[in-house]
Order: sequence, then structure tokens, then C-alpha cells
Amino acid sequence: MGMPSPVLILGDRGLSQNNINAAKRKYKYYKWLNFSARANTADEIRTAAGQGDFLSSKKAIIIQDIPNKKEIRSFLSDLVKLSSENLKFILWDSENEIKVDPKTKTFNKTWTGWINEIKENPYHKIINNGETFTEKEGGDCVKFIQSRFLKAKKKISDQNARLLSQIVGRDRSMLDTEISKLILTAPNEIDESFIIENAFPSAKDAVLYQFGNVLDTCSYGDSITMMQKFLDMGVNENVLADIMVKKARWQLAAASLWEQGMSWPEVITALMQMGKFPSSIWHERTITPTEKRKSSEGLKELEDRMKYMNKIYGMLERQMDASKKKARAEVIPMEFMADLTTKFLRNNIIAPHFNQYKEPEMKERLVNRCLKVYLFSLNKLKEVRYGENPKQDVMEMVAALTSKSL
Amino acid sequence: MKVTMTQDILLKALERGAFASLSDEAQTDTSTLSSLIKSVKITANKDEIIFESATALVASRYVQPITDNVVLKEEGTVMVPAKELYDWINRQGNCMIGLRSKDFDNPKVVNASGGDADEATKASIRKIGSLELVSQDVSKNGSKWTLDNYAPDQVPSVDFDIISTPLFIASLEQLEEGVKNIGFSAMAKDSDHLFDSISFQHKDEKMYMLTTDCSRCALWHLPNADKITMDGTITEEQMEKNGLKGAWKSNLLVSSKLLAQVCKLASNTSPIAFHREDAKNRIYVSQPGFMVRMASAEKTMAEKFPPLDIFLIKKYADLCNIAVGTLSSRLNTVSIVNKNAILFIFAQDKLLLKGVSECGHAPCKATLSPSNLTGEFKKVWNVKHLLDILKVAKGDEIKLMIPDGQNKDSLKLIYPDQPNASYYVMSVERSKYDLNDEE
Repeated sequence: MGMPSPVLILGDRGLSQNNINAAKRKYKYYKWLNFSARANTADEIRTAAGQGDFLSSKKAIIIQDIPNKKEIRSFLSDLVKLSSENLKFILWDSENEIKVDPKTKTFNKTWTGWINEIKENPYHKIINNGETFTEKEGGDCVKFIQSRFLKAKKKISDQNARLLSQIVGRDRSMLDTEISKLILTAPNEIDESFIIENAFPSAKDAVLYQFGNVLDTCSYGDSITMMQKFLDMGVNENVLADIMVKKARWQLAAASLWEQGMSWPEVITALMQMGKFPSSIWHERTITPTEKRKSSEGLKELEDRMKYMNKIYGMLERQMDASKKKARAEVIPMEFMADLTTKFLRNNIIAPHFNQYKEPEMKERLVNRCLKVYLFSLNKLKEVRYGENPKQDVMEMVAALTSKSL
Repeated sequence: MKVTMTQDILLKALERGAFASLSDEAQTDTSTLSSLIKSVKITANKDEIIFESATALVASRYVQPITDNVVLKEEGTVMVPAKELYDWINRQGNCMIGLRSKDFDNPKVVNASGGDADEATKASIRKIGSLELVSQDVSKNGSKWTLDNYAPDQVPSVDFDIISTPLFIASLEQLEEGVKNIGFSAMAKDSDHLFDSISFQHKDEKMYMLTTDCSRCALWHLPNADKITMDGTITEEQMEKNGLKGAWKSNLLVSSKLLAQVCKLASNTSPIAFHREDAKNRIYVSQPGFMVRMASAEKTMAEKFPPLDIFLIKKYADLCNIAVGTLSSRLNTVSIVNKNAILFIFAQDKLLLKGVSECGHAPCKATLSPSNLTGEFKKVWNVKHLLDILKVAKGDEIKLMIPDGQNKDSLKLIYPDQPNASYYVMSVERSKYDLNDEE
């Protein structure tokens, strides 16, 4: 089958570039010409389309940088009508001017008419590569990852696909590139450890995850190597120090909850409720997690929260600062992170001293250890920010966090 | 090594021998071995001094015989930064220049940026000493400078002896004229090294230089080309039968930019010979003592270049003659509206030029009176193609010719005062001008 024309390519820039590279490879006997609808004039583009050739070469014209201008749109829809066996057009919305309405999932009004005009050409093709997945599109992101792996006959579970998106981020081309790399060495069934070991952390949270994961092994050498790897990648010492303080804080919270008498599964649930509003609902032990979620559902908007505070605690409007609506307490983003925190305490700190200390001494020592590590880390964070040798300070933090002593 | 020679001889030798290391490609190289790529190797023997340099795309060698103005005191080889050496010599004026190498007791290892390295690696360069430069004019005054001398054995010499029978030879004067008259038709840069090249093809022992970007073509007949051993151009019958398969054999593609530079450096005392190393797609351009090796397009790419025959066998009939100055002025006027495509209407002893734009300008028209107009004709042409041809005008008049047959998609232009050059441009179809509705 011949090359379709006109081809309209929308969405993710990296994937769109891949489409074009693939087309250039597939139709390499075409003479490929590139134009920018912003930088090149309409006369220039039309002349190039019509310019004769001594060898009657087939021609494919790529027009990118399409601006949001009515006259350019109308020129392009007129130009692509010249499509023939010897003349093909690719229109690439390389600047993502064509937006999709998140509610209706359709193109916005400005472009809909134009896209319909393009569709009137009998051999047209529309390639929508989509945009970066939003938080709400987590399910779509998982499906995208799974379909990419499936093309290479590899399987990945929902949970592991989600983990991969956390490490790499939700940018489609980043995910696509990462998956292309992973499938070269991936087993047929992709598991968590493969992702953690091999996925390149592009997302900010992923640095936390991957670095934290190595710290949890209590290997000072591996942790320092990983630290150096991140520093070489351009990750600032502040980011790493921040991660370690956060990690120490979660460990302290977990140790403290365990010391108060909770079982480890209860500690995980409590950790996940950390930072959630309102605490009177989330910290209420008599109701189930589902009931908690339902009760707090209606309190997402600021006005509703203010009404709630007034009703339950009798707080007046003037006593509440509406400008602080964006300030959020710290939450643990994923349940497995809370799980890893408790596993670390149980396997790496408590287990080696299991025969040495009995309860309640073990609990006291654990809280003391976590408190010391947390306060030390906090102090070092200050030095990383304002001191003269941040790398040395980060190394000392690594030493504290990987210490197994009680 | 210890040699003395006059500044002009040394400068001339360096321009030729260090042609590769002084090129933009070498001077902008940022690889770990860039210091070597930017250097010229100078070897002084008892009979001659050889200057040589090489990059991936181009290599050059110049042999300077020992004459009265070139004094050899001690044989040897040095490898020094070409640009620095050239700039220093260029600033010395009319004087004698002495070059003397001094070796270190222990060679040093330097890294890519020139700093000392702790140990030798693949990315390090051995520095074996220095080259002292001394200039002295008639008043016994002058200047002194020292350059690093790298171990010459780090870069093997290019073997120019593999070239034997040339594909053809041509006079420098004709080559220079050719480059001047048709060079504009080649692309400034082509990553495949195809359309930024000058093609040499011949038919019936008549050698032509050809430049094209496929939509326009400029042809230059080299009247004095001699000793032609390369295959003749692919004929139209062969093309119909086998396509352009094997066309590379009859098509010598030489970088337009490099050929223009070589022509400037070559001597007009002897013709220039062209050779090709088929296995490695390399072209050799040589004169006694001066040789340049250049990379050429891949064979499969070379087969995408239009063969000479398609231009030679097509019959064109005279359309009209036009004064160069008037045509240039009218085209420039109409191109204010559309810099790309202009409609030409030849009718009733007049030529009407019309520019219509999609960018909001009102249409612009201009008329002129061509002489000897043979018929009515209408076509759209790329105005830039025509203006470029008018810039190399020879004489006051240009002749326009259109194909004899039904297919009138090209235009041939010649200057009656310049019989060696002919220009071809393809028309613009599917333009904004509706040819049927025009008056």
C-alpha cells in the first residue's frame, strides 16, 4: 500500500518524531523536504510542492510548527488537496497547538473544523500520539505501558506498570524510549525488581524511590555509588539530602507507631493516612478506610473544609488563612513505600538484634535509633544547604541511614 | 630537522600541504585526537620537503623541491599545529624563515585539551619536542616563536602512490571558469555529498561539468579535457533498460566547495588530473607535487545523480532573446510579491511577468519586449533559479529555449557569448497561478 497523504501527526513530540523517522525509512525512495509553517512562507512551500524535477522524483513534504492562525490553516488544507501518487504531505503539530479538551476528549473548536477538512481527503491519516498522562489518566498510562510491552511479547502487571510510570514519569515518549530499552533484556514476565534495577529514573519521585531503595539495603558502598551516580547525572545534593530526611522521618513515624502498640500491618495503614485531612476522620480507629475515604471526599474544596472546621471545632472564618489552601502535609505517595519502610525496620534493624533485646527495650531502642538518625539528618540537611562541603555532608547522612546499630 | 626558506615559498607550500588541516572540518574538530587532525606533518629529505595533512573527508600533500631559496641543514620530520604555523608565517612579510626541531629527552603525553596527561591512553597524544620558528628580514630583524611538535608516527601518511592512470585531465583555467559559472547550481551542503558536488561526465569524449539540485541544472563543457579513460555517460536507452544502475562509473562527483579551493591553490603551469579509488569512493585531484584526496558520495547515492545524456539529447527550440539587465530588473521587481514562483506569459511580442502571493500582497505585473519571440507560451518558473543564472551573465543577452515536444516542463537558457555554459530549469506546476484563466 502506498503512503497516505495528508498525514496529520499530533501529540507527544518524541513519538511524533519517531513516526516521521519510520516513514522516512519506509519511503526512502521519496525526496523528503522539511518546512516550518512559521518560518517559511506559503509561497515558498507551495513552490517547493510544485517544483519540477529532472528525475521525476516522488516527493514528501513535512510541514511542522503549525501556528494557531486561520490563514495558515486554510492554506494548508488547500495545499494538501494536491496530494497525489508523487506528492505527499505530512502535517506535524510539533508545537502542540492542537489541544484536546480534557473533559470531552475532543479537539477544541478552533481546530476541529480544520481537522475535518483534512479528513475530507480520501487517503488521509491522523496519528494522535496523545499528551503526557495526567494524574487522573493513571489507568490509560498503565494500558499504554502494557500495550508497548505486549508488542514485544512481554507481560507486565498493573502494579508494576504503575511502578514504572512512577520511576520514569508519565511522559509518553520517555516511557516509550525506556520501554524500548527495557525490552532488550526483560524477562517475559516483568517483575518489580527488574524495573527497580533497570528503569532509568526520570521522574523526580523516582530518584527518591531508587535512592531510597538502595539505602534500605544498608549497604554503605552501594548507597555511595548510587549517590555518586545521581550527582553525576546532575541531581543536586539538596535533593538527595531531602530524600534522606524524608526517609528518616518515615522510619521515625513507623517506629513510633509500632512503639505505641500497633501491629506492622496497622503501622502501614497509619503511615498511609499520614498527612491526610481531616485528621479527626483519618485517625479515627473505629471506622474503616473506605468510610474514611468517603467521609473526606466532600472536603476537597477549600470552602467545604472551612465549613467543616467551623462545624466541628467552631473555628471562625477570620481565624483561618484562605491563602494557605495549597500548603499540604507530607504524604507517602504509594503504599509499597510504606511497606518498604516497615520492612527495612523489621529486617535490617530489628532482626540482627532480635536475640539481644527484648520488648519493650527493643521498641525504645528502635525509636531512639530512628530519632537520632532523623535529627542527625535534619542537621546535615541544614549544612548541605548552607555549608561548604555538601557532598561530604550527604555521605555522612548515607552513613547514618545505612547504620544497623540500635 | 633544520630548514630555511623564503616566506613566500613556505607559505605556498603550507597552504597546499596543510590544506586538510586548515579546512573548517579540521579546525572545528573536537575529538580527542583533534590536535593531530589540526596539525601538518613536515618531512625534510635531502631532495625535497613534504607537507601533508589529513581529515576523514580530505587529505593533501605538497612536495617542495630543494632549490636555491630552500636550504636543508638537517633532515627530519615534525608534526605541528597548522593554523598557528600558517598564521605566524603569514605575518612575517618578505623574509627568510628558519624551522628547527628540538626533541625532549623524554617524550610527554598530553590530553586532548593540550594539558599534560598522567599516562598514555588511546585518547592521549605524544609530544616529542618543539619546533623553533625564526624569521629574519634584510635588516637582520625578525621574530621567534615555538610550537609543540607531536610524534609524527601517530598519524600514518596518506598513500598517494596508489593513483595511476587518471580518469581525465583538464586545464586549471577551464576548471576555474566552470566552477565560477555553474557552482551556484549546487546545494551549499548535502549530507549525502551528492548535490553539493560537481559531476564530471562525458559523452563522445566531450567532458562536461554538471551541478544540479534536481530542479535546476548547470552544464559546463570542458573543451580541453584530455586523456579521458572513464566510462561515457549512461544513455537514455540504457536508462530505460536498466535504470541508473552502475551510473556511478561514468560520474565523477567532486565536492564543489573543495574543488573551488583546490583550483585557487593549484598552479596554472600544468593541467589537473582526476583519479578515483573505486573501492573506497575517494577522488584524487593532482598536479605535479600537489595532491588532494577527497571523499565522494557512496556508489548507490551517486546513481541518484541525473545523467548528462538527459540534458544533451533533449531538443530545444528558440523561444526568444532577452536583454539580461532588463530581465533581471523586471524579475527583481515582481519578486517583491512572490520570491519563489513567477508566471511568464509570452504573447504578442511581449513578455508579461506576474507575481501573485498567498501572503496578502496585491499581484504585481511587469512587461518587457523580448526579441525574436517565436510563439506564445505560458509557464511558472522559480524566480531564484533565473536570477542566479542572470548573476553569471556573459554578454548583454540571454537566449531562452523550450523543449521541442509536447512536454514543455523545462527551460534551457544560454548566453550566446558563452557557448560552454548552458542552464536548465524545471517549471513549477500546481502553483497558485491558474494557467488556463490567465489573459
